[in-house]
Amino acid sequence: MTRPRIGALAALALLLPACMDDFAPQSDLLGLRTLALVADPLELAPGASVTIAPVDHVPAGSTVTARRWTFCPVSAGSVAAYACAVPQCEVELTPAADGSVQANPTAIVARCLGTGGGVVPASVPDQLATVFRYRVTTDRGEERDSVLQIPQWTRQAPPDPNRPPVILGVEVGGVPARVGVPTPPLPANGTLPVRLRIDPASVQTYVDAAGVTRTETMTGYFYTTAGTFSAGITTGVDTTSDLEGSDLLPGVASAQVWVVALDLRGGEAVAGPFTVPIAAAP
Amino acid sequence: MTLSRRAARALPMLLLLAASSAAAQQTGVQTATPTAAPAPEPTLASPPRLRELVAAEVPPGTRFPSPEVVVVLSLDVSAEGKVESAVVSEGAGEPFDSAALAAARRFDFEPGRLSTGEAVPVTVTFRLRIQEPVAAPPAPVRLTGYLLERGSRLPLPGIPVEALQGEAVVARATTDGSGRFQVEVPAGEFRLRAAPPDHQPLDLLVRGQAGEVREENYLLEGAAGPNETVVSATAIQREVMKDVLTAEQVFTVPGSAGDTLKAVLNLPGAARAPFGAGLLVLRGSAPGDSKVFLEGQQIPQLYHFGGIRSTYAPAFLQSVEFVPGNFSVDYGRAQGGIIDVRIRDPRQDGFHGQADVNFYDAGVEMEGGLGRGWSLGGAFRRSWIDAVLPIFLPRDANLSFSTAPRFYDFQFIGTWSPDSSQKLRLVFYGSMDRLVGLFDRPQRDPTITGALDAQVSFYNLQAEYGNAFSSRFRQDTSLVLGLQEIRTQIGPQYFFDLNLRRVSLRSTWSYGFSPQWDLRGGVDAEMGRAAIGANLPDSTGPNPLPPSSLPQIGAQVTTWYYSPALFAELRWSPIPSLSILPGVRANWFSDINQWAVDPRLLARWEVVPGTTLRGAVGLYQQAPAPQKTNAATGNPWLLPERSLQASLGVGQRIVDGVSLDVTGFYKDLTQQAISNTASVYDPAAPRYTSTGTGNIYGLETLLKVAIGDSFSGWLAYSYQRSFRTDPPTNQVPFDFDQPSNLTVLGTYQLGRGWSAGARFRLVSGNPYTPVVGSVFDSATGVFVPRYGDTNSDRLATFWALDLRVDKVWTFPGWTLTLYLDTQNVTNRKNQEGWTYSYDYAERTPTTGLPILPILGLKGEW
Repeated sequence: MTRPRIGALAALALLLPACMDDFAPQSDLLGLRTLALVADPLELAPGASVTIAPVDHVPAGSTVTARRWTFCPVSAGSVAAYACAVPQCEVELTPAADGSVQANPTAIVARCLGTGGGVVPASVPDQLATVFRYRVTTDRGEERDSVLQIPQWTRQAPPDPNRPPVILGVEVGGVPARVGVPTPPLPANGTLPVRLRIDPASVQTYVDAAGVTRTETMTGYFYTTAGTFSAGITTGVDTTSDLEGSDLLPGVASAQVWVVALDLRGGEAVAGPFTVPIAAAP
Repeated sequence: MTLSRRAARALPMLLLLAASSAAAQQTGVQTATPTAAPAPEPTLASPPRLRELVAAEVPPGTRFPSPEVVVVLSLDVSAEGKVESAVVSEGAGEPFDSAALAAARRFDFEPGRLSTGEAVPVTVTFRLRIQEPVAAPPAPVRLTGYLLERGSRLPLPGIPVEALQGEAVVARATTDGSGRFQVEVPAGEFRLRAAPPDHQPLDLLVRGQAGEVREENYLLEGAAGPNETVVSATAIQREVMKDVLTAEQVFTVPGSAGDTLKAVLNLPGAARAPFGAGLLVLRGSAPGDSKVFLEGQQIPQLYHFGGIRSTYAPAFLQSVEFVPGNFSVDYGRAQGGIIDVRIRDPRQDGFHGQADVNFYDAGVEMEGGLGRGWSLGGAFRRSWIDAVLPIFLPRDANLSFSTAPRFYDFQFIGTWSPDSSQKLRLVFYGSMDRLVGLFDRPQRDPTITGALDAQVSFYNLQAEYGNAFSSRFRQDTSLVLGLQEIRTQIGPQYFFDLNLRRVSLRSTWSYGFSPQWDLRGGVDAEMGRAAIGANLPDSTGPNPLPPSSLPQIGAQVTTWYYSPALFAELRWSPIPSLSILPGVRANWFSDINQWAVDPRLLARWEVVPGTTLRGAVGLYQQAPAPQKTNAATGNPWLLPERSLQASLGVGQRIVDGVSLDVTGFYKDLTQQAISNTASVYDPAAPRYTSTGTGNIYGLETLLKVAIGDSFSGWLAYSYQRSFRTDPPTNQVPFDFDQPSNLTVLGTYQLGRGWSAGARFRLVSGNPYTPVVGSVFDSATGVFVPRYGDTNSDRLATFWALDLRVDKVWTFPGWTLTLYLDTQNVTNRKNQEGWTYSYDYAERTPTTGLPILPILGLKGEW
């Protein structure tokens, strides 16, 4: 009876040192990064199509040279880094010019599971965790590998499909932020609050795989190309993270800020990039 | 007494009176002659006869003109025999004449008698010789002493004591029940010697004045005192390798800070556990495969938070038995090794106690006798971690505590021992750990945020009764009622709650048919009710993953389990030097509805005095971990996990105080419960299967050295390899595969209560699975590591030097010990793992314990 406890406490022990490392935080955009894979819809009924749009941060001076998409009907889960559980069923998808991809996985799933006749064998569960994998490469050799698992319903449409979080707005320095419009400046060695508001109505309840009814945990990810966020991750529908103007590189005049809202079930919404001028040091 | 000696030296020379003389201090020779008596009829038939001679006493320092001075006296002796008058007839001068007269007046005579028998007065001439006194031998020293144990003041009865002048023994005595002895020794200088077993010998130079009467207490240190480090084995050994550390050794092993379990982990066969893990890895087995017992009953939780302290404090500790493998049929439900903590009874003699304050914690213990065979004791300990941790926690740390980590533990023991054949003991012990914290914001994973609350506790009430019906037949029975509670909440999603109520019974019966044969057998049953509520990240793999990337597994289960076992063991000694112990244990596991029958065999042969060969082979089976067998979270159709163990060892006493033990072993693991990766994407697939296998082999060496009372220590070296083959992977090193593990430690007695010890460890780094990349999980915003081949890389070699210094002050009735146990004195940054950047593109070694001086003060009375 002690092993779960050991596991929980060991996880805690692992988390503690993680709080104290000297690595750059995830919120610091220092290179190529995929910030989100925004899917629509988030769950697939039999025969339904899906569109997935990547949101990348490409550092200045870099150019994307390749975007590659693959689809696998059955994910082996995070324990295998979302490798395809049935590799022979993994197929390449052709992206659009903007990098997004559109696919109708039903045929691929049917082909893989041998359900081409339209009859789903009893051994096939009602829901499959399909996985879309996205790889982006720049001319500087940077590469990012990202995945998005999308539930594929095999027998019926999802009764209560997941919907993405809705961002009501982002405020920078108390002012609503808009793409292409500079926000109030970030004072050197000062802070600038960045507020994320998510529509509470977009928070859903759902029944998880264990049969437990849960409420989505709205999560905000904050990213910046200059300065550092006091909290790279927040939870809640109305959260704020301070952009700190410490350790700024000389010559950097502005920061690009993104905010990504997640429901941790595959629903994603992105706001940004917002241009935050950096005030000159006194 | 002196009268007879003097009488022997006196040579009364009577001329007329043949008196039997009583001698004076100075020897005297007297003569008496009847004179001038009218001679009426009838005539004088017998002259007066001296009955009591009184010595003439001259003043001290009187110079004698010659060695002998004669004074001639004329004495009128009455009819009653009294001297009525005395005059000097022929003097020798003063002070001799006066002395002679004074003495003569006190003479007592048998009166002179006529022929008719009538007593009559008679005048006699008496020649009193006064001899120059010979220098008297000096009066002896009369010494009464008490031999007592230093600190406790316990008497040491039955101890021979000798007094020696030069090489000659001049007096002997034996202490009585109160430790008292008395010797009478010629005055002057002499040595007092005694050698009580298990104590420092007495060897003391004494200068005694003539006639002096002395009374002294002699306080002797216990020989297995607080500064000695000795590894010893019990007389009857049912295992190929079994080492025993006494409580004193546990307290003083350098680098172990006096911890109950950590001390024995310096012995060969025990892997080094990573800092903070508190794991028990014996002979390459998984941590859950080995068990720790308290007098044969399992301790539910071994360590407090962080693995720094054992939950059973060393109070009332008698010894810790360490068996890394091939243990006897008494023990089961473990396919690794065992540790059995043996406790002592509270003392019967008066009230005693101890208090210990150190960097980690503070504890107090009290004990005493209540009479009629009863004794009672209790101990309590609390950690300081909650006071110390905030000092070291960075100000900008993401984690804040409203209740910083802290622990308590306690032990209460009551013993009733009406006679030497039976004993009843009640032990109530337990432990509680608690922390309440707050993750101010998510750091790496969005699900790890908010409240952190952990409370882990257990309480065991253990009753033991042992009875020796005869010298051949005895039984020992113990019953435990246990409660274990765990409440863990991490963030809003994850929790694990356990309420486990347990009853455990062990009863062992043994009968000796003859010196060649004896039989032991018994029952070892366990049952309980577990209520479990959990919602945890459901990882099927061995490597850590971001919790948010894992599905959650939840359970609300209340289940009963029972696991009765029967065991029997025969000892056959065809010759005194050879023992063969076949045994069998049958165990039922209700979790998996399976019987497991474990035959075991041990042989021990003392080939020649000082050389012993030992061999054993046996089957060891256990039920898989509960979460693997529960229908909601695992697979109830698993098989018992099985280990076939074989050992072969030789023990050699090289010289007195130096011995060497070498043991080779092999373990074949089958039916190991392993995760089934197919269950990730196939709900119909069982989450666990019994298809895991493995093999472990190695060689353990233990060189023990004890040089007199001044030095003791040991060198332990283990070479071992531990592999697992979990389909579909190939054979890979086990997580705690440590090919080389060297521990050298020793303690030197510097004298005057000072001692210094050191421990050096050199251990292979643990294998680990390298991260070869990562993938961004956009649904949760975390990066998920991509692992390479399982355990295909290895952490850096671990080495550390620990030092310990003790100073013991002994006062009448109590002792005070100041100790400084410094771990990792070189502040080496030993690698315990890797810390990765958020995307696993960078990494830095995670280091273990920095230099950590533990200063402590311990008083015992």
